[in-house]
Amino acid sequence: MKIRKNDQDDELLKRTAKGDEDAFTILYRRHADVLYRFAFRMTGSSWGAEEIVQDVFMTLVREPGKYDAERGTLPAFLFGITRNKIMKYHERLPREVSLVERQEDGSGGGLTLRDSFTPAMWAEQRERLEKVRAAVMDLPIEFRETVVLCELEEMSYDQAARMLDCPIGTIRSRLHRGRALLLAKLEMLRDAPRRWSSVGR
Amino acid sequence: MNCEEFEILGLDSQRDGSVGDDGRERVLQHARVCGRCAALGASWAAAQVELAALAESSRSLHVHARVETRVLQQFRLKHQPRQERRFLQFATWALAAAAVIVCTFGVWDLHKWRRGALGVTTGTAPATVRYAVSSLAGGSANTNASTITDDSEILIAGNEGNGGNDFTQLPGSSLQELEDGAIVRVGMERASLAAFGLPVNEDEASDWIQVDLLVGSDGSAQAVRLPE
Repeated sequence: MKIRKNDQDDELLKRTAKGDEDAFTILYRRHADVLYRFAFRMTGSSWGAEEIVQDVFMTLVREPGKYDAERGTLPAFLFGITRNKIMKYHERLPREVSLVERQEDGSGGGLTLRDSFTPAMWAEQRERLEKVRAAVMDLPIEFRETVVLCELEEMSYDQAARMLDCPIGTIRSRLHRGRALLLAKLEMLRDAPRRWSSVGR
Repeated sequence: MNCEEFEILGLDSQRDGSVGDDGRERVLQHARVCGRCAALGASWAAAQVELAALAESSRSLHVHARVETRVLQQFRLKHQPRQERRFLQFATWALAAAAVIVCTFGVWDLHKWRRGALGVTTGTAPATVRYAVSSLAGGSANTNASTITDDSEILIAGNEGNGGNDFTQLPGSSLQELEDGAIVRVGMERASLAAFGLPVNEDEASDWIQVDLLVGSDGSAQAVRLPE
């Protein structure tokens, strides 16, 4: 049977379970980048993110039956696995010393040098971005994932709630705390006065 | 709306679907009257710009192709037909067995070659030797080698006193022949020793040397010795 690019995930997963490599490849290409970006933004490590994405799809290959269409969408299921892998990554992180802090191309955060930028401006912006990234990475993991999904992935609260399998209220509350912490860190970077009343509560 | 509600709902009222138009209006109203919350809103707006820049910087990130390769390999491994897997297993074992057999023969051959290098390999005597030997067989046992070739000399019988124990037996020769043989001293190129299975220094291969041959009653060389 021919596979169309717009086949539903469930259909592709069924074929994947039967050993259809084309279906699996489409599934992989459809979701891998999103999961990778999420993992990268959560871990700050390209190698770590690659490992996580690989593990997620290996889980899908080994146990496709784990996914239950009644309980949610495949992307939500994959996000769930990714989150677990990220948690495990962070659990074992203190035991590992990363030798690779930067991406393979040598850049720190994928910022590209544009013609209109002078090297000084580029360096300044890059430094600023690194600080923002560090501030996001400093957030406790449950706040960080909400900030990553809503602020960096630009998901709606509803989408984020489905991805994290929790009520919208939880998203709102985590986002509120996460923003408060993040803003406090960023204001510290800017030497601005602290304005958030709930920080440190 | 008070300040705490503003912090929870006000900063992202545009995206939070549950706030509604009425709620958004209240947020704006509160920001107009509360300078602290207005400043907080402005500060968050600045932070959002920075977050957007961070998002933009990593938006083009893609998972490396090697991950896809690895994942697909695992997929193929998992879904490889059982028969194919069995065949592969069989092929692996067959290859391993073949390698063992080849190694065994290789070692055996090497052993054989080493024995040959010590003087037990088969080979034919060089022309000058054969000539001397056949001449010896045709003529008298007492004939002097100088009558046969310029460079050769026949020493009849008498292993005694000539270090007979230094002779290296040639392949195909018999002990009986050795006992009845005569010693023939011949001159030959050092390279010709290779025909007896003796190691030859290639740098000196073209040198002429004296060699003692123990010749049997049929005139063929049975053993060889290099006199000092």
